[in-house]
Amino acid sequence: MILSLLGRLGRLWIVPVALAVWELAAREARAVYFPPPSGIALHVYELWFSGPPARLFLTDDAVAHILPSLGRLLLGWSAACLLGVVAGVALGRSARLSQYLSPLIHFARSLPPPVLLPVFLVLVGVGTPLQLAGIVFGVVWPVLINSIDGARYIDRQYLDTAQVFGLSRRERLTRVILPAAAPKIFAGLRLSVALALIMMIISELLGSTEGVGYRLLIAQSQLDILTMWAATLLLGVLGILFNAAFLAVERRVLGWHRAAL
Amino acid sequence: MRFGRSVRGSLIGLLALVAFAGCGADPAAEQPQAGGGLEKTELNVGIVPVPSSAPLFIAMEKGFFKDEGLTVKTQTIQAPQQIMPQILNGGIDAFLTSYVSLITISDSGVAKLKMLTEAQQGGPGISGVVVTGDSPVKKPADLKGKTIAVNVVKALGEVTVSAHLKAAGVSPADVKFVPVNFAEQLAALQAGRVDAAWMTEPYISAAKKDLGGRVVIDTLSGPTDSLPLDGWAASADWVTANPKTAAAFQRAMAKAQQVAASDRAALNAVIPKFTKIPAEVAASMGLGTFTTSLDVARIQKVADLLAEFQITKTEIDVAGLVAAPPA
Repeated sequence: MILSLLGRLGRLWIVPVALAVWELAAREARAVYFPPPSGIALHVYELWFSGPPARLFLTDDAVAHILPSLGRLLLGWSAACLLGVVAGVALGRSARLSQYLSPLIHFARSLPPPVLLPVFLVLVGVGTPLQLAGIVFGVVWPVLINSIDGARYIDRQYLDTAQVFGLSRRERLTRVILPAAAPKIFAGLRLSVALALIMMIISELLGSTEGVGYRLLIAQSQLDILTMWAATLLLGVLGILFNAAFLAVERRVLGWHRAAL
Repeated sequence: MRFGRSVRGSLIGLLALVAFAGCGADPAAEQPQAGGGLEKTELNVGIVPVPSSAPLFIAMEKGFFKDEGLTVKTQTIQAPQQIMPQILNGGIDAFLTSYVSLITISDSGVAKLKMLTEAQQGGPGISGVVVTGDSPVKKPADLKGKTIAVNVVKALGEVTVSAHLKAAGVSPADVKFVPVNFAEQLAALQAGRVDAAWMTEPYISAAKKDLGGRVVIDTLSGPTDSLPLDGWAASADWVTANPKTAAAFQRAMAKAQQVAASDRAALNAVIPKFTKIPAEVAASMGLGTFTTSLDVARIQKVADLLAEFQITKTEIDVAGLVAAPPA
């Protein structure tokens, strides 16, 4: 355990080395578009994390832009996951439903969400409804497709066994179908985490009044390069955090599956 | 193991980034060339497909550049902010920019730019806050608490609307500006998703025709009357390195501005060639004044407004942003 931890830390030596190389290269090049990482980190601190302790050190700018973005991200992602899993399992278990709807699904999932944002703007209005619609639409497809596949291809023996034991429809769903489909569903969910982060930003480039994407728009308009990099850095860090949190949940929920492999 | 792999993956990205940083922007390294005493004879000019670019096309068609020994190629751009690396490394020699962008870029400290020739000066009827025919908004003060669409946040739309709201006794903080592209504003207005939209010609004409739209604020009149809008600029380094070329460009453009200022028919003929504006719309749409001089006092008004509404962090002195007129 300790050894593996040390081994893991040992492999991280490359992170400070890469940062140092980046720092030196950026200082050497003096290219205005590539500020050194120390400058970006300092700007992130001043812009977002130098607030009062009572507010977890968040500044006004962080409260005004990061928190609404994160709220919409979590809400939109959860809604998309719920929708994707429920609809996916239903479609996976019903050949007829799937026949009717699969052309529609494949049509809709090929549409690039940024192109549809103006349509959503007219349909649901500006602000949070628009951003939520954008996130849900952008994120739901991998969850849906994976859930359909997971629920459709279930080992015949599982279902036969369930029948022999006389399981009710509900028990069959919760004790056989969902667990058997879970590995696929989780693969879809994991893809959707990264997508949700991307859609959070894209959906705020239009019809928004606050959020990290909106902050990025202002920074671009004002050619505020440090803030553009700060937002980029924030997104990268959020991506790592969400992925790690997701893996932890997956390990717990799918522990049986991993052990079985 | 999994973590190690992902770290390695992200490092490859990081190293690619560092490699990028290495080949960043170098100030324009122009080789002086012989050829009528000009440092440079072939220019790559960034144009925006809007009527302000028309004089450049007039100059090309009428041979004004050729008379000066210049060959001009054009490249379509949106705004100078997006092509700053190309401007700084000399890929683009001159470009159309709004004064708002010119001053904001100067405020950011990223680059020093100089305006060579002014294109248009504002006037009534070319930009405004538009509402639908049945909107309860009848006068500027009614916009309090409303949502107003602008094409770009923290730019000309916000500044001029804010100046008019202030004059009407409404604090600009009491309205919400949301970014919506001009092309999508009509649909958003019609569906009632925004209360009003700041737009320019020819969209105002379209809004009047299709939605029975009304202009609540004519944003380049009254307190913002005759505000200079845009012009042709280059980086300060480029102007220093190519003084004769800059003067030749200015002379050719001055002739073209003269044509644009006095001959509407010439504008009507050239605008449909490089914009998506159809000929009949080009002939009837409102246009600003095509100017023939750079007036520092007039330009300073733009900088003052930008500072007043906190779009720039500092009050910019525009005298340093204007190139000397050609000898």
